[in-house]
Amino acid sequence: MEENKRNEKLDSFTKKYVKEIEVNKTTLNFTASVMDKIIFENSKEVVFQPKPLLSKKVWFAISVAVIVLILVPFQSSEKSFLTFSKLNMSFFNKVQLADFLEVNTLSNTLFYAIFFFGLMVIAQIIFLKRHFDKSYFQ
Amino acid sequence: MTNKNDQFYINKVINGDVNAFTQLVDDYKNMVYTLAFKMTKNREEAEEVSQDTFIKAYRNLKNFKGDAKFSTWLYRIAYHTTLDNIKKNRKNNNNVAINEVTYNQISSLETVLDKIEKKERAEIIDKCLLKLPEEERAVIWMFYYDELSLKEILDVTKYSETNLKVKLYRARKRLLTIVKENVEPEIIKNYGRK
Repeated sequence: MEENKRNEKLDSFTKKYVKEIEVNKTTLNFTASVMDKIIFENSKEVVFQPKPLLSKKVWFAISVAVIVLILVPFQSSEKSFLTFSKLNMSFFNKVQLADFLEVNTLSNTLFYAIFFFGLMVIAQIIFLKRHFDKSYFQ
Repeated sequence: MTNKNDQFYINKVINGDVNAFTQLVDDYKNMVYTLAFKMTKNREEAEEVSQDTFIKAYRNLKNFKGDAKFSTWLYRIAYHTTLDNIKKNRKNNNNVAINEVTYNQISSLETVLDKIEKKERAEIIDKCLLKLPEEERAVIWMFYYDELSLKEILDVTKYSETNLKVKLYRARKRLLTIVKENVEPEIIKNYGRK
């Protein structure tokens, strides 16, 4: 009872004095600043709207095609779906690819040169992607 | 539930009239700014947070269903944006202990406060309010100044009902403790002058 009476008093005390506090006011150009930011954001959207190269539909179609290509040969029981055996692949014998790729023919220096060149190309792709992303999105 | 006037401007903005948003900013800027200031205690920060609040509101205006008041919806964005900002620059540590007070002590403090000029009294209470922890400050402001219902505050803060009631109860008691600590030396000082 005493507790309730005290809580009610505390409630009315807080209400009475908090209500007297004055509202804080924004600076005069507040609305203009907000609108400027909004208009700037809208203009950015109109100038450059990033779109993925392949849409979701295309990705879906590719996925279905890949799954079909993998699964269908296994499904067909007697004949192979892709009759590779009928294709004349003899021209592969004329290409001396195996000899060309033989590691013995590559010197260590050439091997490292190719390796680091590849590494630098990959690094540059990442660097350039970041660079262009920044210039478009900022 | 939302004000017809607000809904008129909201529809205009959704239909592509960006300038209609100016009216909504003008109508609610002081409400948002005051909450942000009460929570951050810093004018520049409050201004920045308020601007972010309106930009977020503009971006998400399509998601405003209209089943709650526009002001409550805006309050929710402002409250969470300010809270995120405070967490990012955490520097406030308001830990004023809560003292038990009796009914008579509240009455005598009221008598003392009533003798102070209204403007000065409002400034004292405002300073005391700013000494509360930010979440308690916000619920006191929403409940007692902006007169939001408990349901609306629950919608804004996402607290549980029990948690909100405990927060309000503690906030009231802590505010009273702070007011008592701040007003008593003032009274003694004034008596000393006479």
